[in-house]
Amino acid sequence: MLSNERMIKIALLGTKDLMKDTIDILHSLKIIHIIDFKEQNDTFQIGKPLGEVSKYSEILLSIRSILSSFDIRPENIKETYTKREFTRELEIDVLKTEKEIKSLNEKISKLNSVIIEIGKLKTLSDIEDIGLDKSFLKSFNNIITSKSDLENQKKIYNDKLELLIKEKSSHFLQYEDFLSSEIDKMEAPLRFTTSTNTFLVEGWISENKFNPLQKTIKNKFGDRVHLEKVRYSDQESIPVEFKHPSPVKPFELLLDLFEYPKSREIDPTFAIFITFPLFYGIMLGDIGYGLIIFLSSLLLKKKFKTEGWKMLLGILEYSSLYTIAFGLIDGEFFGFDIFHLLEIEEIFGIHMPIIDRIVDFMPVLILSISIGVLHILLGLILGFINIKKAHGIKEAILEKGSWIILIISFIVIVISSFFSQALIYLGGGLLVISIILLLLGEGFIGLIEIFGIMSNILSYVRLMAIGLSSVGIAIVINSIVMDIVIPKGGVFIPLGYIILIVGHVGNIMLGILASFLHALRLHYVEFFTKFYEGGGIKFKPFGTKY
Amino acid sequence: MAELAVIVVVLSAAISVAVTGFAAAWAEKHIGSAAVGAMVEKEELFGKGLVLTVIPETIVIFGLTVALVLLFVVLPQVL
Repeated sequence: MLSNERMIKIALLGTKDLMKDTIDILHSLKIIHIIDFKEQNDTFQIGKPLGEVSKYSEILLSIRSILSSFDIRPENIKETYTKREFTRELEIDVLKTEKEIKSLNEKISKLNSVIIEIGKLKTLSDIEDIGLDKSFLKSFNNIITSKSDLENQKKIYNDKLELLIKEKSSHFLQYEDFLSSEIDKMEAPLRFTTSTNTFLVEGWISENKFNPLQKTIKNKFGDRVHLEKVRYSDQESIPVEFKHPSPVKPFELLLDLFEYPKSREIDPTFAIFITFPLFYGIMLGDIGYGLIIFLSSLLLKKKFKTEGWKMLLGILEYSSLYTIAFGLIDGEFFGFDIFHLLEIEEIFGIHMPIIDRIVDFMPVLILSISIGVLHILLGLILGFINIKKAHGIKEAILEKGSWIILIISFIVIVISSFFSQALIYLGGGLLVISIILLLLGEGFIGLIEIFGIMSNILSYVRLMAIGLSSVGIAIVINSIVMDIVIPKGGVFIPLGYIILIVGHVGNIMLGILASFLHALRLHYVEFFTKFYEGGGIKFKPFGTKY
Repeated sequence: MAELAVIVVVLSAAISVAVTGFAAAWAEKHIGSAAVGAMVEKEELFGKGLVLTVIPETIVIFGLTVALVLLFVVLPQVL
């Protein structure tokens, strides 16, 4: 689960006359991440695009401008494109439709300006009493009454335009899809190495897809196109393709926002999957808010179908479950003390609420800091593994081991103050060892960094503080409404409910955003700095749309 | 004397929240404007910009913690 798809580097060599067929095959397989060739000398050059790319691009541009100006999105269309070839018909269809739209638009805008002018005339209609000629006034009135005819005409044109768009939109989406992949194929040689008569493609492919590809190539071209594995070093930027189970998948977004992991380092997505919703839940911790986030993310998932939105809503959905769980522990429902109001003292013999975090903030504070210590310890351990893999055990002990021992000694000392005094010697011993290692590894500057790690740990206090501020606002809203506004009676009752709704909507927005950002920040700033290098590239196979 | 001590503790709590709040806002103002500037050049920086912008919020969280400790731990001892 912590390791990703293994990539190998391949090279594909063939004669130029087979280039087009090869591109077609690679494009349909969608398994190769092509490495762009950079021209270095005169012997090998980048290839020339195939066919009439510029003509295709021009038509694609027209299609896209129509699609975007009428806000036509692929998710609204159900049919799929079946005809996969460029015909004269397609071109004529696009050009004709474009012309029609243009002429309709022109007519509408002309009518619009005339209507506006007539609208101005209307203000002049009360000039009867200044002694103008009767017939002049009559023709003047005729113009004004003709306004409704013009508006009707405008409506007809508008309907015509709408009908045209409705009729063409599905076709145009299909054209767009087809043309963009076609252009992708035609421009592919720009990424290849070519000589006068041959071409060479270099790329990455996941290990288990190599054999099928070899078979396909062999069947199609025999020996005329040659495929082989190429040796590569660990230092090269190998693209990363995640293979996470579906619940973990949304959390890839958080790495996408930051930086992709390098292929040789540990992929932290799984760790984020465990801790991110936990932090979110601790901070927000309210049954009502959790339910609202859960339901709205389920609803929005139906509406927003793009990859990014789906991931974001997936994260929110999962985090809201933790929010509800911590809401039960804190006994909060839209800021109301739910168990107290319902007069529930205990459930299954457990006193409810388990922690009232407004009154007993100390336990939450201690919990927050303990979570911080453990989270940073986890980060350091991951860092230890990374460095051990890259530079060996000695470096790992000096660079990360010292910090791990330091934090363990801190834990031991704290525990000893509760349980047994003897443990303090163990803690002290570990502390001395860790400081010696620190001096060996990082020198005197390492001692100063102890303060850095202390402030990192203290930063987890926000788990308590953000939650407290969100509850605080909720309680203020509730008490304004319940204790001040509603007791006044009369018109104040509906007003009270308006304040209640507006206040809680605002607080939910703040809560979603603040909890999300701070949970994110704890990962990016406190957690990732302990082990994460980043700067890797995403695996983008040739043939996929992006 | 006890009254004076109470006043001092409560005032300290107020100052620790107010000043750190102001400090965080001031820092975020600068980072935020720089982040928006960077985003105009390169839109992918949105995520990083957002995170960098909330970094100084630590200041006010420490302030809040200090205030809470003053009010709930120190104050009962003074009273």
